[in-house]
Amino acid sequence: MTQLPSQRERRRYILARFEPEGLSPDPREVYAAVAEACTALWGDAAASEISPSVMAGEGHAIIRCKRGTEDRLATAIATVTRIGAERAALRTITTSGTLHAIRGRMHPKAEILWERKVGIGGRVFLARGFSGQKVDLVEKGIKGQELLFFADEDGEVR
Amino acid sequence: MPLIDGCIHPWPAGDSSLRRMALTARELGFDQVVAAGGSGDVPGVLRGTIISAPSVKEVVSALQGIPRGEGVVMVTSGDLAFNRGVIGLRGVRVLRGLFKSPRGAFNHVAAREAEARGVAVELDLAPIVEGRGVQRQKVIARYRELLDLHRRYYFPFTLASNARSVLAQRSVRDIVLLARLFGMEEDEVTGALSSLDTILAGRSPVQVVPG
Repeated sequence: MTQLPSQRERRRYILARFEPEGLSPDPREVYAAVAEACTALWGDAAASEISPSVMAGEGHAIIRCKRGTEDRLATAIATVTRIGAERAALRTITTSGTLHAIRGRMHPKAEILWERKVGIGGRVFLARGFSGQKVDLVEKGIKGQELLFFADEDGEVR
Repeated sequence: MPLIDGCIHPWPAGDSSLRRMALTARELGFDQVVAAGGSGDVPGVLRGTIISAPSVKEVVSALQGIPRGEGVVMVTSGDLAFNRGVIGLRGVRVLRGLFKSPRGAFNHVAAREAEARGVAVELDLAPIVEGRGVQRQKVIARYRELLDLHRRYYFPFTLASNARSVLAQRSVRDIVLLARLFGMEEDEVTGALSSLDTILAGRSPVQVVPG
């Protein structure tokens, strides 16, 4: 039986952006990171009250919670430091009561403007330029992938 | 009043250049950052120097190598005697790392002296963001005690991300929420984020306004 809109449980939606630029993790990994952060910070009882669920898209995540718990969820989101095996941050952009309003605030995924190889301290990195003078450097080695974050005007990436 | 992130650690100590961290700080709502390390002349960046020494005598000799009035001198805290000694030194602006010091390392006497000398106590947000379990609980409890002293004796606070990466920097809004964990109100957070501006300008953090 469907409920009238006025009888449904009130929800809030938080729009968050992934950092580093261009990261698009599996939604299940985002959920695991958010749920762990909520439980670690507020405990099991409060985490069940927050009841987070995640929709992740290109460069963004929409995280749903019960109304009245959005501040607690936003605090927990600020303590996310990893998504899956990757170091990452979730930057809260806005909070809204409807998905429609949230989608209006989503920006397209950051585009790579240029790519070239650069050497820093005897190591070779692939430099990727993004808008806003941002340059991410990726070194692919046998022990995994190291990421450095520089800017257009830094001597190392010129 | 400019909002200032009390301390960041750019490349080579961290994985992000000073310019990139300054760009990110601006995006996250800050006007300035204090950088311990990094190179280049970057707008919106205040130079910071961290002194970690086992005795006040060694702090004094480290201070002699720093030109007076240059940047923000931050000293890593120790026991009560060390902290009181450091607060009394000319040129010291910030006492940092109190969450690692023994209990009682900063009491009402040190709080009064910090207020009189305009020395700020840094609240490092990194252990709250990155820590988990008992470790984080202890830090929150410690900050609550410091906040209680702050409300009684009015010594200044600074709030610092102590980020070594752009991924560890947090927005002003995030910092307001994180500071709520130990009971800090929004206006207290704003005051702590802008306190360095007052301290560096040599103004008293408490000003008497004629009625």
